[in-house]
Amino acid sequence: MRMMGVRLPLISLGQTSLAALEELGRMGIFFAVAMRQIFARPWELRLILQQIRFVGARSVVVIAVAGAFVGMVVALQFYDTLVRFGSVSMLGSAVGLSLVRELGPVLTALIIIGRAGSATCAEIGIMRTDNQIDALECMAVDPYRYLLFPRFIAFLVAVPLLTAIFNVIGIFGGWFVGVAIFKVSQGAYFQSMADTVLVSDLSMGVTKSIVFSVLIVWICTGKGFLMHLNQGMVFGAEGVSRVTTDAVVVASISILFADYIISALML
Amino acid sequence: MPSRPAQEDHTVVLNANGLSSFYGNRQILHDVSLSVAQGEIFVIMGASGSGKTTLLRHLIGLSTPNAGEVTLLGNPLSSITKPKLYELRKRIGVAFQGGALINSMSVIDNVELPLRQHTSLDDSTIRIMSRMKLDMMSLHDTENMMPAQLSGGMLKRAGLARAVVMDPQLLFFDEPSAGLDPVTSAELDELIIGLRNALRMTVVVVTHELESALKIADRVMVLAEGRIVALGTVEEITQSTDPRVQSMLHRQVRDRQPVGEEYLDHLTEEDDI
Amino acid sequence: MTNKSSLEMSVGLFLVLGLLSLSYLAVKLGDIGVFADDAYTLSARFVSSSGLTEGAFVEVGGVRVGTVQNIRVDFDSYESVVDMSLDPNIKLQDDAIASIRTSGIIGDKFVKIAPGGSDIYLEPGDEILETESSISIEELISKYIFESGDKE
Repeated sequence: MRMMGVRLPLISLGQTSLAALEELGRMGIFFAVAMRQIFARPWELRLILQQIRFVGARSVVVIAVAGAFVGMVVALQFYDTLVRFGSVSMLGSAVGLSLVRELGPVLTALIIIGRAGSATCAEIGIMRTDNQIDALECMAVDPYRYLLFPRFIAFLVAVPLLTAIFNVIGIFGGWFVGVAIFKVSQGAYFQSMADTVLVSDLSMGVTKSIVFSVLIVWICTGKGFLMHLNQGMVFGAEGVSRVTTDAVVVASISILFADYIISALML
Repeated sequence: MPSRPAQEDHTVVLNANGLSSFYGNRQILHDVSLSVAQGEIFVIMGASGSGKTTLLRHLIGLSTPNAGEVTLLGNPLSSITKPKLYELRKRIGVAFQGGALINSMSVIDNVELPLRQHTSLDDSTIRIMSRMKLDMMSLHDTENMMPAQLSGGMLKRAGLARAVVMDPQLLFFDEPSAGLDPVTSAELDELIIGLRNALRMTVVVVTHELESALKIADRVMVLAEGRIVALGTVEEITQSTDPRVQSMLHRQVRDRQPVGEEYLDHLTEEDDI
Repeated sequence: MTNKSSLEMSVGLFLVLGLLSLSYLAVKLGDIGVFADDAYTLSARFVSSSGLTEGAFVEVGGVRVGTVQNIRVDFDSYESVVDMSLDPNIKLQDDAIASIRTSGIIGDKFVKIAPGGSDIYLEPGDEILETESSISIEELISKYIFESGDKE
């Protein structure tokens, strides 16, 4: 009996790690096959546009509102700190740097996971449980080309652009708090921002948003597309809701992890 | 059990030989062989859990059996490349249980999808061809509706319309009557017979409905726990003396109780992890 | 038809908005294209350029006119050679003085150039001969302590 007490957790640890490894392998192959569709013809332009509208155009308002408030709160916090050192003229650079390098890419990615990533995962998951993906296969329509590749392109295009929109709105949100409310000079706000934010900071932000977009679309479509292969998988609506929750958690954690790695490599 | 080609036409369009399939440690199919001739309606019948859905997936190349070989329109599926498999699938149609319509597209867009993907016909021709198939399934009012707005029977028929829009040589139909009221189910049976008679299509139907199977089939294969228990014409099946076939024909409760020692083994069985 | 054009419309609007934001960031903050087209390069030698980094600003009269492109060591003289990229509108005389300064007490280092009085202007690629090295706070403080110690 005492042996069992030790064995069972070890067994379940082994099973869990094997299952995780297996899933990682499947996800890797999934990613490679999806990316190979760059060479597949024809590109489904209309589907790509529909996906860009879904991921990008329909997220603009959320991103703008979030960007404005994030810019405002960052300016508020930095103003409160900088005023103690008498360096409120640095407010612009503080807001600009934190938005462009960190907050813009990360928060945009997290919002997009919640708004578009989860919906994409659920949609693909429903298509899997309802045999729609099998039906595409049986119609000789490659689901990787028809279903997944347009989503990869859409996220890859939309997330960096949404990040840029988030940053610009955030900068003006910071301007509103700093210049309009706390009367920091407008010239100092924009000049210090322009002076401190360098091309390397911008390219770090863009790199992050591109990497994040790939992570989001990969995890969210992959989890839904491969859900029938999961061990102890539940069918139907419950299975889809589980796999969607899973995708949101994994995608969010991967983004924060990748954020640290990229920052460490590029700083 | 040896399969017998149909009388009227001897071209074999679908052949399966010695299929065995596992799910984890559980064996789903035990050495299943069958052969379907051009122009016949072949019904695979079995209760749920009999392995009929797995068998169907093997026959259309959606999954690969652990042993055995499927030959579809003369092409062995075990060694086929993806482009060739896709070429082959343009000549078959598959109607899924719940229709499996792409839920982001309207009914007509769904039916048009194979034509748009595989032909270079102009829009109006595609529309006309798709409408003809929808009319055939008496779905002309629904073409601009979304799949979520359709009833179960309509979804099945729309799925069937999409499956036959390319005029396939071979049609697979998964559970045409599951979850339908008797009238709608009878209509679908008529449709299947009509497709065979009008378009000379070969039809493979997977079902658990005895009545519908006996009505439409030229030949029936009865599957139980992954094994073929009977295969033959409708008369042969109805006259079969096999107890499992008889119990099915008379809708008796399956006799699942294992005997004495076997049952004790089952109760005391340990999980072998 | 309206459905189709509204799809293209909204995607188009989104792309325009996104690209505008991206180019705003690039031009306003990243300075891409501001000095890139016709900037010219001057170099200057310092005994020490301690604390100066690539990308630091070059100022004339307190106004930004360029950035530090490259810092390297001259292995013969063990001096630091700093290459600067400058706005072509700024013409500097050959007796201009380049000095490394700190903004505030603990701020970033930058290069300050004081104009000279000569009639000869520096050409692209020339070297500013008159330089003052960076002043390290540690040195200043220790000097102050030593001197005050001497007096006692």
